[in-house]
Amino acid sequence: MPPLTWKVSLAFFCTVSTLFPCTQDPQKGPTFLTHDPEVASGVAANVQHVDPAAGGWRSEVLHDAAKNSLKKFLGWLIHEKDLPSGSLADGFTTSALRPSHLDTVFHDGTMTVLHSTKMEAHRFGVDDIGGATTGLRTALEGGPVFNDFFKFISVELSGGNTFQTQFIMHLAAGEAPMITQVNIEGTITWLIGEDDEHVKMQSLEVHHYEELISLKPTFEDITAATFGDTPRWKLQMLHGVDQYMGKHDRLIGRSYIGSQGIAVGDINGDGRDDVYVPQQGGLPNRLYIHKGDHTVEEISKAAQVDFLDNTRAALILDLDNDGDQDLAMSIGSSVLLAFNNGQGVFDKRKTLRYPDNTEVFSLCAADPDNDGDLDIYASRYISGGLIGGMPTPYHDANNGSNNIYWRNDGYEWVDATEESGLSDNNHKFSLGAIWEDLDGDGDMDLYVANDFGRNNLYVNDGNGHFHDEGVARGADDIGAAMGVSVADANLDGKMDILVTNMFSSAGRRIATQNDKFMDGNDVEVHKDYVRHARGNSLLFGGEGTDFLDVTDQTRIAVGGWAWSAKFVDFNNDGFDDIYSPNGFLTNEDSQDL
Amino acid sequence: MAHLVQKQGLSWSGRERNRMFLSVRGEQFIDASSVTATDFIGDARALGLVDWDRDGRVDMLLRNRTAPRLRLLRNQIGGDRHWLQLRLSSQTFGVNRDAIGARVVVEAGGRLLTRTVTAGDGHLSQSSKTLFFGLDDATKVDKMTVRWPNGETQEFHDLGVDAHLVLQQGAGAPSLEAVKKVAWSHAPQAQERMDNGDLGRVTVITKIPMSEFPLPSFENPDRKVSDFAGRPLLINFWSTTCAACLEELDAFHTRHKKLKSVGLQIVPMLADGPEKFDQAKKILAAVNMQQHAGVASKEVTAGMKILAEAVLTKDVDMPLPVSLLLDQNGQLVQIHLGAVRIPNLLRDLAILRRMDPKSPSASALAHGSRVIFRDRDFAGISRYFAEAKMPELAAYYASFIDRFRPKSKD
Repeated sequence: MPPLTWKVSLAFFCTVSTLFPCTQDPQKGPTFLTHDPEVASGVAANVQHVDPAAGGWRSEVLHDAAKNSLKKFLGWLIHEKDLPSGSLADGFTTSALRPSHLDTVFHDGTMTVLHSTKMEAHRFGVDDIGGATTGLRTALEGGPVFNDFFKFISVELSGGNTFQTQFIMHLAAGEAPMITQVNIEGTITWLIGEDDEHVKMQSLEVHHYEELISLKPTFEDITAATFGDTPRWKLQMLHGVDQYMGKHDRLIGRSYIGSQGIAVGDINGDGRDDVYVPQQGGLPNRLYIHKGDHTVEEISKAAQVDFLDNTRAALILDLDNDGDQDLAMSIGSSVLLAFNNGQGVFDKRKTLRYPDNTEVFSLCAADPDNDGDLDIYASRYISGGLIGGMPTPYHDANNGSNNIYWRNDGYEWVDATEESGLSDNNHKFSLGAIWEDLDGDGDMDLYVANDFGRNNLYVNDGNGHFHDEGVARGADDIGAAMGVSVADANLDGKMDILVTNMFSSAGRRIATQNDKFMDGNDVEVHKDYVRHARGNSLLFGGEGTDFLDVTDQTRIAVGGWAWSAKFVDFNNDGFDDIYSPNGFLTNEDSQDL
Repeated sequence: MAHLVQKQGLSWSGRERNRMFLSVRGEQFIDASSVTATDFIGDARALGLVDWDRDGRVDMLLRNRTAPRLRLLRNQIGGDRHWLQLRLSSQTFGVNRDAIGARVVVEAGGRLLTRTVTAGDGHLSQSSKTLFFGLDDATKVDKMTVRWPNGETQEFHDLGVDAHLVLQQGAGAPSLEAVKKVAWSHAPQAQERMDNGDLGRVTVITKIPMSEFPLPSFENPDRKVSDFAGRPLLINFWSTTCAACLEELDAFHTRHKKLKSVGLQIVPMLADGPEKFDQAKKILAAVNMQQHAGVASKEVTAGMKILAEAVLTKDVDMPLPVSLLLDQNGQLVQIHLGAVRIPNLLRDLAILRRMDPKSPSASALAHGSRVIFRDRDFAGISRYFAEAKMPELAAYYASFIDRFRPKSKD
């Protein structure tokens, strides 16, 4: 495939092709998408609408030219390199990169945020372009620029020999304690030169500007002092999954995506939270006990939970109501329960196994049937292998694996998915879920985050029976979800939903090409594709029990290729902030598909 | 694409910076990743929230695909905002002991703050079951309402702030938790990704019997692994033209007394052709390693590769030196890609001594245990030996197929 084709289809493929190697026969080793002609044709059937070569994606050729040109412009702006002659069109104009008038939008003694959302009338030209940059350069002069993020999120062919790009840019400079961060959004109009690979900047307009100044960084990394002296810390935690590829016994189930989570809870009942860390196949899971000083003790062997099996999620909780904390974890296709004997040894075990080989991802627990014990909901992703398992239709797939509601009946654990009604719309590509009272009626509802389609909002009738009202209540958030977090973000007394989704600038650019994308045919489906790469979503609890998508006005979408975005009130001002951990596959070669 | 990413080492939405969004009154969110020092580059996966140092500010435990795989981020934000933390429990019949599902509404400074006790959210994540309330400039909590999972509600009035509270259902008012703040005086320190040097030691989780595997010596073409039974064995594949191999032989020589005292037999297997035999013998004599030395014919090398691929991956790249560690019963327990690090080897031999030679599991060498035991695909291994025209080894490995399955009567 030509590079351009990768970029486009990659943006839409999300995780399915590389998650797959985890699920197959370990003796055969991974079979990847492009190895198998049969699979490849199945893939082609799925992506024919987004193949730029077939569709003639001139916009991506222009994008690459614009990106190269802008890189040089930024080199001049930030690093004071020379501005290459001929990079600006005759008659080039620009607004000031830092607007002259800024309002204070946030100020609390730890952080000051200034912003401007208006486009300024004054324009600078080629001759006085320095004047357009003075303000920004001054703002950033506190120290070296250590973050220069830049993306085009749309390319609009306007006919003739020009085109427009919308961009997002983040710059951060300074040295601790004082850091300045600038976020800029704007439009650049380009003049196409002798061919599509040669473009000149015709105009630049900043229409959204934010400047943040902090007196000291909010977070500091204390990992080394806390964990660094535990046995084999460096071997197990300072080598990435990428480095371990091919360095593990394949029999044990490998991880390439690195889908290993974390569980926080007070394992030993001393009032301090401890940590259980699930690990990829071949590395033992870790149980770190908070010692009360600044260090931890690693006790997984003595606690008999040092499993080498590929483990994804884990929960610390009291499953048998005996007053101590037990463990639940997803290992391969099973949910393993490990019961605490009261002395910190988890020697009694139970395996919840659904009769197929589909791998379990996230776990969440609550007592939705109000019988006094905790039940577990297990999210699962792909079933039927790659050929039968490719998400179909891509934007609203209903051929994923079924999730399992494991009901705790005291000594028995029962698959109660069917009888509880959670079998409703239960064939999605699920990566996360949460039990919460989302409609405020006093019982536990369930929200499930699904890749390649709509999420579920299972509303509890108060007796542990559910109905998926995601679409009816405006909470389905069609997209590429990986996780979900709930809080009352706007303090109106109603719970709000943060859905972790994929933000892909390439996906956004491609999908917004109205005339080319899917031949401009199905308008509704087209909207869903655009949505697929939009990024994280925020749904406010609205009138009645419906949800309102406020992603655009709250400006939370651009969270990267995110996995576990969560509400977190880091400054204790009562309003939950959002942290969006992200990144898909970083490897040795810095060239990014 | 996955092929390109994995085999050619390209990235795919890699090197992305994590993002923190500052909430402005819940109306808009502003990217504050760099000013909060949370803009880490790498492939993050999961997030757990916790007040680790118990100072009332929420800290974060971050899980990554890339190194470092775990980060603890201590929140040290300034300002004098107030806070309240609450940990619930229940011993009431019909309510889970963790009070998961309980909903707490705190009224302070004219605001209503709502939290629910949950277990599991985000992606593969569980945060603390302690509830965190940011009180801004409120200096008291006017009212706190707890709705327990069974619907029972309790109300409390006029509570102090900046406190870790514990509350048991039905057991009166919340009380201060006795656990102290963690004194923090250690300088933050970056966790650097380590190079791959330590990753060459691969434990063979389910051992592979090798008694019939040929280890021809210069004099005896029929020598086999079983001739070394009773003591652990290190089969070392080397070449006269490989500098790392020569250094490794030298290291074995330097520590030979220690290695001998722990019972290890080292068998250097020369991967060069006959034209190098004389030179090889001289080298071996110089490091006093000639005793067990052998010749890795094409067949032996191919056989080693079949076993290594059964453990690692197809078409594994194995530059010399490569070593196989076998237990006293002639079972493969470890593959060393690259030079053996002798201190590691000595530690592993100590573990090996404590392992049950009859058990098929070598998990102890990987410092862990197994939940799911899975046997080797001996049918596949046997097939590969048959394809490589080694019928004796094909038959040998075929004899292990279904070795733990109960044999039928007839």
